[in-house]
Amino acid sequence: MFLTEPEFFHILKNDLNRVPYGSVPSTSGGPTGQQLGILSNSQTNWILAGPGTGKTETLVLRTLRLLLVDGVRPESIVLTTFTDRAARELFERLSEYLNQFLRSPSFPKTNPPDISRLWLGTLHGLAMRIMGEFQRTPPSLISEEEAMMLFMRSVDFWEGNNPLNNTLYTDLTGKTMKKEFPPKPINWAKNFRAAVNRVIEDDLEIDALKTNKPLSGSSLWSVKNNAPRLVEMMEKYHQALKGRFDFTLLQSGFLNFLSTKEAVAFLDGVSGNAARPGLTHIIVDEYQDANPIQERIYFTLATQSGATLTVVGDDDQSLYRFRGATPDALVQFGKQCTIYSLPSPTKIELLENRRSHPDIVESLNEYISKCIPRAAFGVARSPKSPLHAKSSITGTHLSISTIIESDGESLAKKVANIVHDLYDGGEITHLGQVAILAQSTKQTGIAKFSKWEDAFSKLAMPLNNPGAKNLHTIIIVKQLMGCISLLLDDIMVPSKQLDVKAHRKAATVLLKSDKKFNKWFDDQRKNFILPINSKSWDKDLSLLGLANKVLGQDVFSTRINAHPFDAWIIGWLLRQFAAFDQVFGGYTNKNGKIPHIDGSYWTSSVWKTQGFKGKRRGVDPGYIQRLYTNLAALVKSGGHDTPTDDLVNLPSDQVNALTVHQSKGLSFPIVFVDWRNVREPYPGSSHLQETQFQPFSPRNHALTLPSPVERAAHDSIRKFFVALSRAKYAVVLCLTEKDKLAIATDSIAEIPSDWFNSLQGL
Amino acid sequence: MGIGDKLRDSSGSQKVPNLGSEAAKPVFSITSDIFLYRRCSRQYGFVKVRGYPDEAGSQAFIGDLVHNTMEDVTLHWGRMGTEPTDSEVAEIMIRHYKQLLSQGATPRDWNALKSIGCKVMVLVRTMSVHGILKQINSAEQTLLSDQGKHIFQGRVDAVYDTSSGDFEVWDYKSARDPRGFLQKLSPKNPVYSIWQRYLADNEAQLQLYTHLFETTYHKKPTSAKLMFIPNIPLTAPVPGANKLKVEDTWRQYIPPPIAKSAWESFHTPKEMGPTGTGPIFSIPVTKKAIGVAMVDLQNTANDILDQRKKDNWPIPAATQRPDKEKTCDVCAVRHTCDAW
Repeated sequence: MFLTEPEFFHILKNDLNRVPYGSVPSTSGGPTGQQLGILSNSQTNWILAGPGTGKTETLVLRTLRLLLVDGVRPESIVLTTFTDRAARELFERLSEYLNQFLRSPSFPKTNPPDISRLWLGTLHGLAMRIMGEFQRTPPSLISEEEAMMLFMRSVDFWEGNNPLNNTLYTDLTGKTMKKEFPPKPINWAKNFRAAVNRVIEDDLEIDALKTNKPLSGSSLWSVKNNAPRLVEMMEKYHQALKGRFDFTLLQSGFLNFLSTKEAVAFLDGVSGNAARPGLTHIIVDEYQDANPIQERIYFTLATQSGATLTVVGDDDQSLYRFRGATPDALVQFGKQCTIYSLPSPTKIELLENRRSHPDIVESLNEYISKCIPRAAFGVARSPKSPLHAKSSITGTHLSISTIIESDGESLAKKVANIVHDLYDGGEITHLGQVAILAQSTKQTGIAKFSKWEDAFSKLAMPLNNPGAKNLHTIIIVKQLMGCISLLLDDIMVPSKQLDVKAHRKAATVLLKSDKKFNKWFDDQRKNFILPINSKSWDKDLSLLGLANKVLGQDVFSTRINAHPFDAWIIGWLLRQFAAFDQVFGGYTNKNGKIPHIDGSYWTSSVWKTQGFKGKRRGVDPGYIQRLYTNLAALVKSGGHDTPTDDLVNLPSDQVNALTVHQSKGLSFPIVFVDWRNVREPYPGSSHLQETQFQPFSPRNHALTLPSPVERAAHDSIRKFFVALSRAKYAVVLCLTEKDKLAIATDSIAEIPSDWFNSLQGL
Repeated sequence: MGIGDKLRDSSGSQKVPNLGSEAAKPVFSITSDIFLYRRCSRQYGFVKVRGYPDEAGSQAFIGDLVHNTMEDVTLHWGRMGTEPTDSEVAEIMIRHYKQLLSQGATPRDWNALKSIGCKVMVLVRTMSVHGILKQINSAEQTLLSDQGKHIFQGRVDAVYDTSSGDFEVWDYKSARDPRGFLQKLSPKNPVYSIWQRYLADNEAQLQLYTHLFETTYHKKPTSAKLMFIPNIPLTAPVPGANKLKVEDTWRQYIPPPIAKSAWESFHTPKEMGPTGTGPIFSIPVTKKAIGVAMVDLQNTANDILDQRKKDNWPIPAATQRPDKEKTCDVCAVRHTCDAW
């Protein structure tokens, strides 16, 4: 016994007190976008959902309608989204609504669906779950930290003067390796690995790449061996994974799984006693950030199971090209449906913006209309109608405005004073109501975000800046790294990581300041640097274990216990040590791999050059070098990119300083958009690689794609649009006079001068 | 006049709205948040909030293995329509064992691992033969309950349909049964209160699950049971006298089921009560008991919220110290802890 559609709507309206279907008809007199999104029975649905238009609500109600009206079994529905956080929110909302349905007196007394049986999660999470359940050999996934270290260990890309690497690097990034001094192995590794990942994620024809024979057109590599060289790097790395997946290979692994016999039970179900249903509905959230291989996975799922395919997203908010995503997946959804022999999709637009002040919505519409003619942006986006302002927020205040100051410091001071004034006046009750969104929140770099931190701290308003990336300046990090170096390495193994000296110096100063610690430290050193007949070697001590021993000394533990920030940073560093242990430390016994520091009887040319003769016990200098190259360099580079999911809970008592990427999916009452140092569109490595790889892409080789410069312009427009559209009550664009002059020339893709001139100063 | 006046609504009717769902409500898992915090607030803060890595990944090895295996056994029934054979159970368990190893986790005690795996096999064989397995209609079901400032989350290991049309909730425990310790120890022994606390936590866990079922589905389970795997008797000795590899131990194990009469003897009120020694412990799920448990859990959740705000994770007071072996010896931050 299930609900009829009218009963479903009745309960929503009367018992849940919701008007879920909105009020703006998608066509004159027709149903609203929300209504179509929830009720459409088409085989393929293309839902375009602008910012703040109730996308999550629509997805949740569509899923509930399938469960409660159509009686679809939860195991038959795949509902994927982009982050764990978004998946969690979907599950919570589903659980909350289902609960309210069950409370309704109108709800029939029947067994409710177990929504934990839905295939709900990120595509990566679902791939692991599905293969774990249906595949005989369970998949094994390694962490991103471990994957990067494994890549660095297994792939030869170190020599900046190696012409093979250098020309390849230039083809992939537009930069030159040998000009980078001091050498930046983490940057090199990040860039090479991103390209290797892209080969998989762009779903390229690897044999064509390996032989440098394009599927059509001509190859764009500067040296003909560069394409095979890239494949060689990729294969070396994949061999080192030994059958395990990293996050990229998990996708191709899952795609391969879908063609196996084991996948049939998942796709088609099993008849007989088991009564397990097959897949009938696939709903994909944030489809604008799908990459080509994900696109193929979703179409393969739909075509092999016969399930409906509903994609939801907004290409104007596509941000993750640098991770292999492309807005083309959403924009060209209809075309792909034809290629996969699926019916043309029902286009559904969610247009009711319930987030922002009407003036902000009006300005967003104006903004997009001004951008459409720029750099062929209009051709690269889905045709969409303007947003309708439906927020309850009103007010006569200046809801969208600019602040222009002579330099970054004055700008930050002015914003800090404004926030302080509003806080003093009681308009803002929690500092978390304010966000500063920037292209980068690094304390160093061109746009130095430290000016904001200085300005806000002077007024006793703390900033929450999860992307500060100033690890190498934090004293406790230097001290711990230095202590590890001094403990394991008495000869200062040659290293290109100049920071090692600074780390050792910081540790030496600490040792001199604390006699108790100094004595303990001397005893410990004997564990690692010993005459050959010593028996006190602790062979099972891992790097993580050693770090924990050091941190257990009063001089560190007191500081960690008293300074939460230091404790957080040390937690991050320890996670890197754990990954290092997995990749570089360890021996294998019958029970598996035991991580440990690699000490051995060792005679090496490196030691001889340092004046040591004969056999001597100590830590393998190669191990030390790997330690420096991986960990010291990682600290120097500010760590890996912070995953978006780290921002699970934003503090309400700090002003949030976030990158635009970190702000995706969030909204804030007041947003200051720090867009200093505007520049003309500048293609990055992801834009260059898309063009470089196009001739080898079965999906794209015959298409006419925008140029790298045009795509860079489009991405700047999208990023700026996302920043503006986070605001509920007010958004303020923060620039310097120099930026204003550049905008006046109309050469800044993401800020059309006529739109900019329509904004009032604050 | 202030510098921020242009951002003030002159009519005074529109206030700056509050931060909405971005200040996301924390979700507290009953086992990995609430109970971890109760055992040691410091360990909770460093591991769960600040993300300190576990040195050997050993803490949850056996628990994960047992739960993953039992979930798969139930799924096997659902998918294949047949009970898994001994060798299929062994292979399921080996799969999860290898997966845990590949994630860098290491069990602390290899022999204990082999033994607990064999006990899982005895349990599955017994449940198959006595028709229990086919009456489990759901495994690892996630339930949420919005409590205002936070959300409680529980994962129910198994929902068992009784022959009378009602249902029970079950939770598998791979840790030792606190009832045994409480009977052996004098109440004056300082360790007594630790085990008493563990027992109370176990009870509260299933009382919360009962509450979650009631609030989510408006149906109340008739009973809630803990199943202590270490208390499952081995019906055949562990093969290989601890000389075999873990995988071979389980592959070679072919256990007879526990006899029906013996299995039923585990279900007497005495055996399922606080002084029982069998694998099953039945938890009271009266309205009053659930009410008391909920208040207690709420208090802990509020404590966690307060501590999170301060980002301060002190060592528990001497009288509240956790069990050394169970909590401290496997703690990722024991080296910096005076209690260790």
